[in-house]
Amino acid sequence: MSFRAVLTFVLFLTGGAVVSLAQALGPSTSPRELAADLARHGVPGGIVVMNSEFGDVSSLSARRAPADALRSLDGGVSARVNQFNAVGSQYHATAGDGFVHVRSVREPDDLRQVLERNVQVDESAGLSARDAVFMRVVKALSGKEPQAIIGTGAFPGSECPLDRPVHVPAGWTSVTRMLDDIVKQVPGLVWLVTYDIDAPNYGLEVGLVCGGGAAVRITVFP
Amino acid sequence: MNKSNWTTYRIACILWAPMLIVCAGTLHAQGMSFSVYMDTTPGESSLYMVTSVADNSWGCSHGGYMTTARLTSPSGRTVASQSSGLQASTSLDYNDEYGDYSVATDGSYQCSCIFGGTAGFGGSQTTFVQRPTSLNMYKTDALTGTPTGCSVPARYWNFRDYQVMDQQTPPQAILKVMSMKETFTTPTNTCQVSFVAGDQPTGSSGQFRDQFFMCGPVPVCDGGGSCQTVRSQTWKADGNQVGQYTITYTCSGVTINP
Repeated sequence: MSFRAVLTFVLFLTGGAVVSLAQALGPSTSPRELAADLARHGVPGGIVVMNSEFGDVSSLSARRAPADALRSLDGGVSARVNQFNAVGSQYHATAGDGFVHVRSVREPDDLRQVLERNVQVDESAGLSARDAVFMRVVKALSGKEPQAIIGTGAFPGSECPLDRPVHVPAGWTSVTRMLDDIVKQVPGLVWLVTYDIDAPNYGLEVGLVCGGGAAVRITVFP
Repeated sequence: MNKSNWTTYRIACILWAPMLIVCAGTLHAQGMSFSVYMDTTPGESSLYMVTSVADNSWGCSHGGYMTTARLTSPSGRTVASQSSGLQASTSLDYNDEYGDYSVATDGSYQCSCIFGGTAGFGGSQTTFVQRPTSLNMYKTDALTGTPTGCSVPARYWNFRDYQVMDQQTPPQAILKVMSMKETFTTPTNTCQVSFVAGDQPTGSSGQFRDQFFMCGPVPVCDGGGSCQTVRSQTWKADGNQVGQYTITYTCSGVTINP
């Protein structure tokens, strides 16, 4: 009998984990996970992805959310962005002017132009972050604010700061600048644009992502 | 960390092996004892394992630790990761395999009480990985007020509370946080409404609330007419389809089937 065999002792103890599970996790590849990460750490920004690419947020990320709320990103924003870009090639993340943006590399040019072209906001308004997106941004994209709404789904609770007030100034701007300006005023939110390449008007939706990975969206065109 | 998912358990075994203690003059001065903590967490698409070993031995000096964490799927797919020291971690994609996974740790170390020798530690156990398979609606009711997504009170506002269930017979509740994602098709929309959707992970008990509401001015309804908007809804939990429903909205209320 070898020494090794004789000296094998096993003692399992009931108790806690000794090292963090986070060590076992690789960098997330989902734009939604990155958006949730940014929201969790209070970094303003937004993502433009196909509806089908707006993936799940992992259980583990969701579980980490409360403890990590609004702390600085380990290693900095640039490191996190570089980490995200290194993992996958379907999306590209950029960091600049205090914002992080993630866009699908397959985003149609005309959709990008719609999001970047100058639009006029008629009047200044103070309203909730949710209404700023659901009303003003939708109007900037479609020409009119939504009237009747049907809602379905598992909506986030008060832990998601959708009701926090923001100011939307009058003047010329772009949709992405409007969205940036809204989330900049509410740490803990990241904006979201999803599209379906085969749908009329790209099946455009705009919304907000919270730190726990929860999201709310509205269709731009009924 | 969800304690219900921990797969650690206790077996205490302290072995006295005086015949192997070659450098000791007395029988009571040495003892070998290792604590192996194995923590598995079922993620969205992978099983994660972290193992940490505590060397509680006395009388001899130890060093040169190597620790290996090993996961094996029900079909025998195995992944192992070895690290120097007393910690190791690894993960194994489900690849659509759920059920009993083997979780194992083994390691080696140099012991001053063994002339030129290496000793080892190790152990294994099984952890059951649940597949999100169905939804159990355990409560439904109506609400009043202004839901998220509306700036005015709702015409009507209903909800269903669901529990995510696993693949067993009978199905068992999955008690962990899961990501939830819903997708829709809308074959009929004579109400001419915009759609607001929300999705968020379940709570730590695997439960979530699905809400259904209509708000704002609907011209056809306000004029005394009728309309119908039909949506087909599909729910996925951690990427697994768990429910499909047909939701019919009218001016006066909503029905959900099944």
